[in-house]
Amino acid sequence: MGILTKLSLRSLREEKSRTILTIVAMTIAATLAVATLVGLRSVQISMYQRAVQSEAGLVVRFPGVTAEKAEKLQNSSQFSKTAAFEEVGESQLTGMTDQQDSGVQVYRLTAKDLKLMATPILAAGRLPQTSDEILVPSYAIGDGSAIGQRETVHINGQKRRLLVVGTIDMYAMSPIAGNSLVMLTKTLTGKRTVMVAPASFGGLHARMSALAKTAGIHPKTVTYDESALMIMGASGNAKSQAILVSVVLAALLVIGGVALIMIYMSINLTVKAHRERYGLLRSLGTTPKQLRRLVYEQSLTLALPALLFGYLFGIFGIKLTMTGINQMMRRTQMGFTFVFRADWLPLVIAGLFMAGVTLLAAARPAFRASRISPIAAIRTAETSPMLSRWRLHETWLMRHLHTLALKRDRRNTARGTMLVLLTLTVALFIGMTGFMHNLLANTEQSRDTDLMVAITGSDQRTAVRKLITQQAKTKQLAVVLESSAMVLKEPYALTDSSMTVVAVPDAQFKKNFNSTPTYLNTRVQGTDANGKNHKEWLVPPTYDGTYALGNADHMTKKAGVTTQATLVPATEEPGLAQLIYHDGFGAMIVSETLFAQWQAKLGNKASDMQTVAAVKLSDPQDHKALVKALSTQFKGSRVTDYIAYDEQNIAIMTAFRVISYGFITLLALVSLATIINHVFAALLEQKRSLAMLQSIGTTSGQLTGMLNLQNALLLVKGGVLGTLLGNLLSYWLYRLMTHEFLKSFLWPWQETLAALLGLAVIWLAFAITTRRMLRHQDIDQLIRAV
Amino acid sequence: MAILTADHLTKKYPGEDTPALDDVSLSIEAGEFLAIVGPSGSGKSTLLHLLGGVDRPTSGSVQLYDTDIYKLNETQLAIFRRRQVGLIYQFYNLMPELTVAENITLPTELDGKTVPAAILDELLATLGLQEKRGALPSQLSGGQQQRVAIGRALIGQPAIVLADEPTGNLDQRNSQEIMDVLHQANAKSGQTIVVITHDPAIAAQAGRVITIEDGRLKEGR
Ligand SMILES: Nc1ncnc2c1ncn2[C@@H]1O[C@H](COP(=O)(O)OP(=O)(O)O)[C@@H](O)[C@H]1O
Ligand SMILES: [Mg+2]
Repeated sequence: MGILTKLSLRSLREEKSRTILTIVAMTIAATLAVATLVGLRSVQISMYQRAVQSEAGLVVRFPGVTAEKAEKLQNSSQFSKTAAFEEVGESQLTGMTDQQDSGVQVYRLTAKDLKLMATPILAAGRLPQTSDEILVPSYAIGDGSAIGQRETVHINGQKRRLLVVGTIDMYAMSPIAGNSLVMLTKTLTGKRTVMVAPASFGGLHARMSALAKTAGIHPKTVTYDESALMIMGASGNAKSQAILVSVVLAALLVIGGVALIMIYMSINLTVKAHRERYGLLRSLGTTPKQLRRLVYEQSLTLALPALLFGYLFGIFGIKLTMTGINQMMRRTQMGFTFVFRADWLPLVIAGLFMAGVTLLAAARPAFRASRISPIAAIRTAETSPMLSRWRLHETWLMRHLHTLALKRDRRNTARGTMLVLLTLTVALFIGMTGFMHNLLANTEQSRDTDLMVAITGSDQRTAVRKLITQQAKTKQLAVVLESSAMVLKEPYALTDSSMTVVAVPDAQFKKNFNSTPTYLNTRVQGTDANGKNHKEWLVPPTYDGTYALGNADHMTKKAGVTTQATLVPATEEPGLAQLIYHDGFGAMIVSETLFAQWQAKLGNKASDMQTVAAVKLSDPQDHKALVKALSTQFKGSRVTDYIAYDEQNIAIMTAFRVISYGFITLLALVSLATIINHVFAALLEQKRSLAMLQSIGTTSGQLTGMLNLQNALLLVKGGVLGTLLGNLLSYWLYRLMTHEFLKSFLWPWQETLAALLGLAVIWLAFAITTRRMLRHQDIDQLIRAV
Repeated sequence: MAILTADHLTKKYPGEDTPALDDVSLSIEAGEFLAIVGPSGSGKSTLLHLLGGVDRPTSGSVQLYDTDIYKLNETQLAIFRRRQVGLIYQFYNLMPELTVAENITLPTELDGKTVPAAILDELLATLGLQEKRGALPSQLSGGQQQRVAIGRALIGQPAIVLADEPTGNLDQRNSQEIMDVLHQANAKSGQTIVVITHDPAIAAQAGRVITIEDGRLKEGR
């Protein structure tokens, strides 16, 4: 070990406080980097797994492979999973459904591959177990055909009776999903499509093309799930690759900037404090290059433990956060879980990142150290200007320590920088969290309806009302008949859009609606001449023309019904508004008698009508049981569970809040650590001057008081300015985002309180450390030694 | 033979009206023991620093043998200092984390060489520091610390040893011990030594004395 390395290691050990401060600063930076990278990596893996869920991870397809080539291909070590299916031909679902009569593909798979590929896309029922059982698309069920029935199916013109055992999700990504029949076979006979899940993603397209050649097919025929592969950065599309890399780079750039400032300040402080030592080394013949190396070495030596701590805290922090979020998601049955992944890639990047940032941060201090003139060191050792100035003012000083504290505070330019940094930190913390708070508060809108059910077909009002009142205690319950009509020509704003027609009992119609059809007007998002968003009435409130309505399905231009109507804002009709608000497009209220007449005039069938019930529950806990009861009794009904929806929303919002508050707090911590670091370093730097003051009779209590006042000044100034700016910032951000309909602005007093409390804790930490340091100071040694 | 020659050395500090050192020429012979005396603020330290290559003159030159040291770049000048110059200050200027032995061998180690154990032992004996070789500077008295600094200056057998009031901070007994060590090095191995001092008694022990006043060389002997 070279003498300089020895020297640098020992000085790190000697100056424990400074070393620890620097390591803490670097650890926070490293934690931020590791947490971000591991977090991004985990989100990436989670998103990929979700994207490939329905295709069981089999993202590459080799079509038209022969039997023996397929066996070789499937044994390749480049895959973690493979499966194959055979396309048997086309089919007609004669007799099963009147829709989509042609172009149904029939696929055959062996039992093992069927299990792998069909399980994630099974919408209902079970997998086929014999060769005369089939899976059909979900649309084919209903209108007389059902799971468990034998159906006649034409395959390649041949008529077969097959047992329907389940249905396939039509919209899944899987190649065997969609408009298809899926069957079981003992073995595949002809050319087949081989599906593979790659074991790794580097150079995927080139490797797969090579495999395609050995499998005897043209590389161009190989297809990829590019959108899923893009998530892993393995897309064949250079542009999407670049986007992914830029996202990671942008994140690293932000953290890098913060970490750079922070590490730079720590190292710079150390170099400044070591001016005399470096000068002495220079006078003894240390070359500039040797001194630069010394600074780099010392910085990297500190970065290493910081990186290890960063790994520890970053990984466990993300792990803990994800576990918490997952638990919440599981509770609310969101069907999405975060996969935690801390593999070598993010960890290596974090390591390189820290090394890079540290070297970059050390560059300027190292250069400065190498430029320190040997003479400067010798001269400062002879006469410290601070000491001599203080000696002159001895007696004055004793009486005016506090005035001195104020003066020094004003003179110190580094403190000016600290004040700016502190103010910005507090302002950003309060501003960002306050803004988030307002955003999240505004998304938690109150709701009139807990649950809605819509049943198509004949009038089910009595049955629905009975079931709901049996199952749960309700605060409010409205059950109505609805159908829809097409608006023709008038009113102009609604032309060619569909309108809901709602029937209320005749008595109510007479009492509440003055026996006149009533249009419940709603407000929608519009854009004014200046391009600003605002809400406007769907139908101008002054409109007094007629409403011309036709059949909703067929675009005949002939009006079945032309009527006058009262125009009423939906919000003034709360009992019914809740029912129709869900589509946001107004509704026409009529009596039951009128409804029946209109149905005939509009040419609506019974199947065009629906029974709609809206419930506000006394006890929200009842929602699950009620949903279950409704869907069991009314098959094919649409039940909307707003409570479950809310729970999911809250889960997402909480996750969002945890992540964003966590990130903001970490960033705030980074710059706070810089400030703490700086104040402590300044304290260490003053050690000798303070010892001098003590030697001339200042008590340690007086000195502590002076230093505490200095720190309090800094923190109070920063706190007050930061609070002002922070509150303004959150208000300004809010105004930028806000629309007329958002709730009023909430001043972030909790966030402000948290920030100020944090500052108080910091002040206390300073006070305690100062006291301890001054108590244990060896005055004699400090005055004499360099 | 002149080992070190200063020609028309002038040093003006920025912001000062009169130069701290004004047109000083001087030559130092190999094996000489030279004392520089003069009132406080007369420019003694300034001259010494210019001779040792730790500062740069406003004008004039310093030549060691045939090398004009201020024509060297920073790295070459640093190497010049560690090989050819031994500096001793009034304040001992030791590295607090290094032991006595490590402080002494520091310039040689910076050169990437190691000091033979026998040579180090002998030097420690001369300095009376055998017992203290593993001690840290904070565990030494002022006189002992200054002896370490002298050891550090002598170890590489530099062309010239420059001492700036090496006894300014010490009592008389310790001062004499320091001077004895320096004289011994001068006498035994012909080490060229330049000492700045206030003390007429110390100046009297030197082979030659020069006086500086207001930055000018006043008289030589
Ligand atoms: N860095 C400096 N800046 C300005 N003036 C200086 C500086 N160093 C020394 N001086 C001035 O130069 C003159 C000579 O100083 P110095 O060589 O230290 O004298 P001596 O060592 O004889 O006491 C003094 O007047 C001193 O104030
Ligand atoms: Mg001097």
